[in-house]
Amino acid sequence: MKNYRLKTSEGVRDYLGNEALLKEKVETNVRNFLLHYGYELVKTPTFEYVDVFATEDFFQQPDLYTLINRQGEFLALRNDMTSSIARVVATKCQNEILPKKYCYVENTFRYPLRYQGKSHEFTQAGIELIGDGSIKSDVEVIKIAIQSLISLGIKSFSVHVGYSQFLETLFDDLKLNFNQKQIIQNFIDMKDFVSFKDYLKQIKLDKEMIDTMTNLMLSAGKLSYLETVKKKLAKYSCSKCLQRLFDLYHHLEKLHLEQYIVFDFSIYSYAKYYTGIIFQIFTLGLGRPIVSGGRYDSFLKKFGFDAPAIGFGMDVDGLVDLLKDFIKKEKRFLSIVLDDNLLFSETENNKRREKGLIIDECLFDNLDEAIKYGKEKNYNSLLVYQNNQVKIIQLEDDNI
Amino acid sequence: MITFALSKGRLANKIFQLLQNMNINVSDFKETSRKLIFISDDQKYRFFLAKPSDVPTYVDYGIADVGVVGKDTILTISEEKHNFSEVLDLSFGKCKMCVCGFHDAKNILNSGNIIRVATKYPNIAKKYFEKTNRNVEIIKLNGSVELGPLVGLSDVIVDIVESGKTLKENGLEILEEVDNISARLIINNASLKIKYQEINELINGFNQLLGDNDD
Repeated sequence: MKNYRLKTSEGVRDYLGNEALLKEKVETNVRNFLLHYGYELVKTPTFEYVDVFATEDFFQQPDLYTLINRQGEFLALRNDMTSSIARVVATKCQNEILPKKYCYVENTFRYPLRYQGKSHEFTQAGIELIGDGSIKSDVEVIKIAIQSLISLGIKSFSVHVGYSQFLETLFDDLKLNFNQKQIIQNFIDMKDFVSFKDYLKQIKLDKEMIDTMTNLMLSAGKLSYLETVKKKLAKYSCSKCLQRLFDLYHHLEKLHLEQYIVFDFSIYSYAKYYTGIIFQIFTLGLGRPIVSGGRYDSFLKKFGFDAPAIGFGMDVDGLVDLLKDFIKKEKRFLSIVLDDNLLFSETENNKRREKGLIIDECLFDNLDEAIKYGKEKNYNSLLVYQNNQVKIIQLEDDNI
Repeated sequence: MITFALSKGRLANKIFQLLQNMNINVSDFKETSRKLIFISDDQKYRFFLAKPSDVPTYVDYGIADVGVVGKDTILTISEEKHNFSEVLDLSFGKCKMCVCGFHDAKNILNSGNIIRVATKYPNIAKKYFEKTNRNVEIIKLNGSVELGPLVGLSDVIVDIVESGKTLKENGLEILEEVDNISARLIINNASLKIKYQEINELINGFNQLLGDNDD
């Protein structure tokens, strides 16, 4: 038998000290930010019946953390808040006036399919806007995603916007059959664009179309790129999808947010339920999207509630990673009482705490010990209480 | 700046030649040198040399934006999702991943019985036989895999075949082809998004050199 008492299980970790504080702070800031846009906070159970999360048609879902309860029912830790919120909406909002706006900051759990050393527990923050299918809600959701990153102090990022049925429609325009579509989709999922291209050659698409499709997978660009794509595919019905993207761009232009937008038809998400505009936000220094979102108009139908919806999820752990270097270290004081006048030091310390200072009362009797401890633990100064007086000993070089 | 992770050895030499044709010079690099990190003369590209099987890992984690690695290495790890895209077939280092064995072993492959497979690439073998709906027992070997059928350890092997000479000399033959292997350009997905302009330039450069290999 192995004893794992001192280990944490794969994919989960501890947060201590400044890192824990930073995480807490990011969560609070994001939550407050979203609340101020009028989004209602939801908290859902950490685990629920597996049926809530198993939204695809297969039963095998190797990325879910599943459990069996005493009654023998299958449960799963939530892998995504959208499913839980869909259940909430479908059961509680049937007769309510729409749209409903929800926000959340919660931990979600999933097995990364292969990697070692990548998290299984993620903190996600996000919003869901339910019951409005218009371009206005697309704009609102993308705008909030952009503004919340700006408010957190993330400076350079780009919002990659695509359209989830665009490729599907193009495949239909090209009269590909179900089997062919699946094979192509599989190569896209695997991000294997060499086999992708080879396969397109094999099914004898013309060279221009192969180049266009490969380009769609590997390129991205600003408004001019979108115009080029439109021109190239003008005769196909898929180009109609592009109008929504133009509209989105022009709305964001009015808000002076268009500089963040990059059009990109290769973006692909963990969640497969998207039906319209789909977007991911990337920033330097993080090898994965910091925000993923999009429209999922047919998803709620699976829960018996037919309403359009759009939302995004934000990777809070990623944000913590990005903001780590910008933590402002709080000043910390250590205090020691060298006589019996505990009340004096207590009142004095509390006065300082009210001003927002951090004061740690040390448990040593001996001044030298306190200084040694304070220096090693990086306290700024030591407050020494004696004879109804306070003396401040500097522990760090910089001034208070 | 774009960072490349390259497989040490033949592939790296080849890629520096290609880059030279694209006017990207790395005078730092010499075949005999033991240095691991190089910077191009125009300071736009950084290269480091890694063990081939580690190249996808560096690219996966975004430590390198771009990697050059054999398809076989990608296959060994890519049984599930990874965080990079396979973008170009650089069409050198060509060979084939095959199922090989004695001529008679064909019957075993189609018998529906459990097939014993010796290989250096257990993931590739597992995936291939899963895809073709056959039950296998996989035996991992570390070299001279051809011995498997010769000494009766396994019915067949899954291995890379270049010239087929070793097979022939031992009375074995190719029974089924699993995949075409060659050097591939892989790119971290986030780099592909964030540095799309530089990377597009790079891809186009390679494409022109390779003549889009449309044969």
